[in-house]
Amino acid sequence: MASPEDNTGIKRELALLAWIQQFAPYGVFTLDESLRIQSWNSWMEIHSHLSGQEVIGRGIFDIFPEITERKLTTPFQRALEGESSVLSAALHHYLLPLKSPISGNETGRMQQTARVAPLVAGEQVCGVIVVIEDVTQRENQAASLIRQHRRDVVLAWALVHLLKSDEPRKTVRQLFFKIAEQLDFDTFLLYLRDAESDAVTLYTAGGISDCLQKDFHGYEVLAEVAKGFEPVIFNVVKNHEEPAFALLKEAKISSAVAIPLRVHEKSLGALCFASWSREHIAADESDLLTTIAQYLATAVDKENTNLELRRVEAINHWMGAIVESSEDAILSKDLNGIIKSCNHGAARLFGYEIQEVIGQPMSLLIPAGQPDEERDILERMRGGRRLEQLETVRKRKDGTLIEVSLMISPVMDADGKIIGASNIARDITERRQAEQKLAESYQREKLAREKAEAANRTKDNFLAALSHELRTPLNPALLIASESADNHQLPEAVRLNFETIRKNIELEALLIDDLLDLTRITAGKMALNRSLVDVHDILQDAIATVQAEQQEKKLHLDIQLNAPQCLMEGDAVRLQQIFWNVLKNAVKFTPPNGKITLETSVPAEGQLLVRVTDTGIGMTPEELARIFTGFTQGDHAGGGGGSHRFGGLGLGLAISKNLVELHGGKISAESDGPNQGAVFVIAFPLARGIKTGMEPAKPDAAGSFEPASGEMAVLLVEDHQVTRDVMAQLLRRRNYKVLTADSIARARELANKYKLDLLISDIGLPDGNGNDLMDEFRARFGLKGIALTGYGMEEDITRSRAVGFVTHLIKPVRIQSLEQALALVKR
Amino acid sequence: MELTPSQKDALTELINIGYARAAAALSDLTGHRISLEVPEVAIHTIPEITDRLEHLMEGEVASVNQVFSGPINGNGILLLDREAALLLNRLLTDRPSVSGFDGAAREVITEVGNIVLNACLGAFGNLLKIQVSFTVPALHIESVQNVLHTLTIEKQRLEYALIIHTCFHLRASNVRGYLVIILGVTSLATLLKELKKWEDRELG
Repeated sequence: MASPEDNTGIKRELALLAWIQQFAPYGVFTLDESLRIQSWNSWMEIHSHLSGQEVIGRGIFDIFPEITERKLTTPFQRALEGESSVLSAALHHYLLPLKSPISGNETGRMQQTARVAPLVAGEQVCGVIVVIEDVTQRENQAASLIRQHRRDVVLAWALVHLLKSDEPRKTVRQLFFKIAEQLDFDTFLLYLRDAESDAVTLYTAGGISDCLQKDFHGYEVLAEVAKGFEPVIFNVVKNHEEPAFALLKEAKISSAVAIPLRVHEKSLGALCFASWSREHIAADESDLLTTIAQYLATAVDKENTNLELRRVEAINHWMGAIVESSEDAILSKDLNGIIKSCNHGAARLFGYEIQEVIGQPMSLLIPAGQPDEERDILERMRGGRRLEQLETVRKRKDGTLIEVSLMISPVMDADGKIIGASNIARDITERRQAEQKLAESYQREKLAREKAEAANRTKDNFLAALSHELRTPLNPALLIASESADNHQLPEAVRLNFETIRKNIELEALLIDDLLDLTRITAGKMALNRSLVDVHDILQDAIATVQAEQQEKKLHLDIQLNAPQCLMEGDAVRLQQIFWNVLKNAVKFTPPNGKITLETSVPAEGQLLVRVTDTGIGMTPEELARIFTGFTQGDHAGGGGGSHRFGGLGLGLAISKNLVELHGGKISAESDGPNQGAVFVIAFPLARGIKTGMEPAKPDAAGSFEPASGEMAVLLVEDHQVTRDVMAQLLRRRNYKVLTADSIARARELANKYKLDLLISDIGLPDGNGNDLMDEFRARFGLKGIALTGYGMEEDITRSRAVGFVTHLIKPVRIQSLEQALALVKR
Repeated sequence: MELTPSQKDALTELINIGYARAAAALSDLTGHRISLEVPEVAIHTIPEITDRLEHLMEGEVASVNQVFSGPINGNGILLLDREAALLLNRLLTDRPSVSGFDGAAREVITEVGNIVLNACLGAFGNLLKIQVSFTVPALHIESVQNVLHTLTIEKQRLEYALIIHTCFHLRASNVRGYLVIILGVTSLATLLKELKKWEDRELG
């Protein structure tokens, strides 16, 4: 019989059981020894959608065949043997296939933890009790946490490794493996933008076969993503019919997410992850990968920047090395004039250590009192000038000054603003010194040149003065001697003596002229007045000058002017001098009654030959060798040693040789020996382009008087017959019409009768002064005149000028003087 | 009392049989290759075991406790220190220990403890040809001292504890735990007697 306590106890237990049946927030059901359902609580009814009535009495495995399929029958059987089992949700997921009331589970199934235990009555197992707990929410949260955790792991790894890595784009491969491991992706593709070509190409990939990778290289779909700002998700790829998706399908991709890699506004490429199995990418996965993509973008950008930095560094280093290794002095300063850099070259130039200079103002190097030109230059540079060159003075450490050439250029920042200046200095002290020396030496040379020229002029003046001084004393002597020689009031013997004196004075004058000529030649001051000349005419003139002497010595002169052409370019005066010298020698050295032959010929085209042959004393071979050198006459002529029988310095031929050569000709002498005579041969080049038959107009013979047009009429007033005759002939040869007079009276007669162009008059005339005559004729006829004077003294010259004589000639008149005077008058 | 070497060997072998079953069950469950090893077996009195365990483990331990009754009765406890428990959970479920000992982890350890204890005690039961029934295992996470304290309070009679060093090998990792089986004197004597018989049978 049950006691009341027992009843209460039982009632309580029944109440408990009822509660479990109705209110327990978990499933409880019991099975008998045959594993048939004995009890089924409310919870079980609700969640299985099976009422107690439907299930009680039926075998558990019949109701839920899945248990058998899943091989979960063991815990039940074990329970019958007394063993209790715990089936954790983590390892089993669920015992009975019940729907989960909570959404968010991928399978929609309820996650359960179950306990299967024996029901023991006394010592006997009489059944099985099963308790099922719904842990879906917990599992969802746990799963969520785990997912989050996995993502955090990936993110942390990505952050550390990408940002730490020197080559983040290579680290992506490892990153992918990490992601694949945690987040269930099978494939990744990294596209990067090439800095130079700006095209987006595949850099690396994983989970794609090599041959497929090639196709992915320029895959537009993914390259396009790089241009955008948002990630692009491709879900359920297999449903996309567009041809562009064919490649994804080929790579077995079911879903993918592609994320652009961007830093600030720069697009660096795109990162793509894909799954073979999953058809959907969850939003939070996309977010995670976007974060990772950002890390990657940052890391790649950093890598690019570093590369760029290193490149710039290398360039800077290079530039720095160039500056350092340069021998030039290179300095730079900021806008305040403080020296910012200094290379070894500069240190050396200025004598400082580099550290001593940096941080100091540039004025350290500028000598005291000198303005800082660099400041002005910097100002000009702000205005846009890029480069300046400046030569100036700088100061070394030891105080010495150096001259430098500075090349100054502005230093600008990245925006183009001037922040300082650099200058390259070259020491030009040496150069300056060299320049200085050069200038000095130039000055000296100039002075020397001027001195030399002055000396030359002095010499010329001296020569002129010498000529004048040497000659002047001769004139009165000559005049007196001439007059006395002609003075019939004097005894014959005396007259002869004066004649001798006259001759000798004339010789003296000639010698002095020769000497002066030679001096002029050696000084290179012999100038030729070149014109077209007739050699034959000149020869005739020369013959005329030696006529007197020749006639005296009764020498036979054989003239054969056979040259068909005789025109040459030359100085008529000097040519006459040459011929006169040679003829004179022939006359001089041929004994009386001898023969002199003068021939001209044209032996070859363009060449004129003049031969003077004499039957005189001839020359020895030694004499022949020396004959043109001057100062020797031939020893045998001089009788060896003492007396000079024939007089003279022997300069004539030396001068002639020079003159011949100045005309481009040649002179030579031959002799068969002493007393065998001699031959002098002169060769000249004929004037070119002259046809035979062309001749300069010959002067008319004296006599026919009316001057043809162009010819000048000359009145020659000279009382000395020889002089008069010679001059007349000379003048006639020069195309002048000549009237001669031997007195002023006769001169007046002629002037009254004929029209005259020119007066040539001696000053000392028997019946008056030539000056008066000139004066008169100038007044009456407007006549010009040339004075012949034996004095050459200052007052006479002045007087003669005053009366109208254009110029004067000093007797004995030389042909060149006459020509010069005539030229003067004609002007 | 001490186990003789031959007793140790026999006991180890017996436990191995049981553990093989446990390992198989766990392998099937997780899909990973799992094996259980018994590096050592020893017998201690309760006070001794307290000492011993304090040496072997410190800090928090997870204990899965099953009481068994029948012809022999006692307590079976799987002890894993916190780290070992979490590692074991991670290895078995492939879930990171994000939140420490969350509900799911606790269940898994409980199930492991349950499987191991069932297997071991089941082996004993077979040996003794008796049927033993177990309570549903209970998981506690507490300090070692607490675990033992609970034990000692409940046991009044002088009892012995079998300490089975257990090593889980899975996924290139090792997890070390301790299976402690507390038996009454008579139960132990019976066990050892039957053990001897079994040994002779096997070897003979």
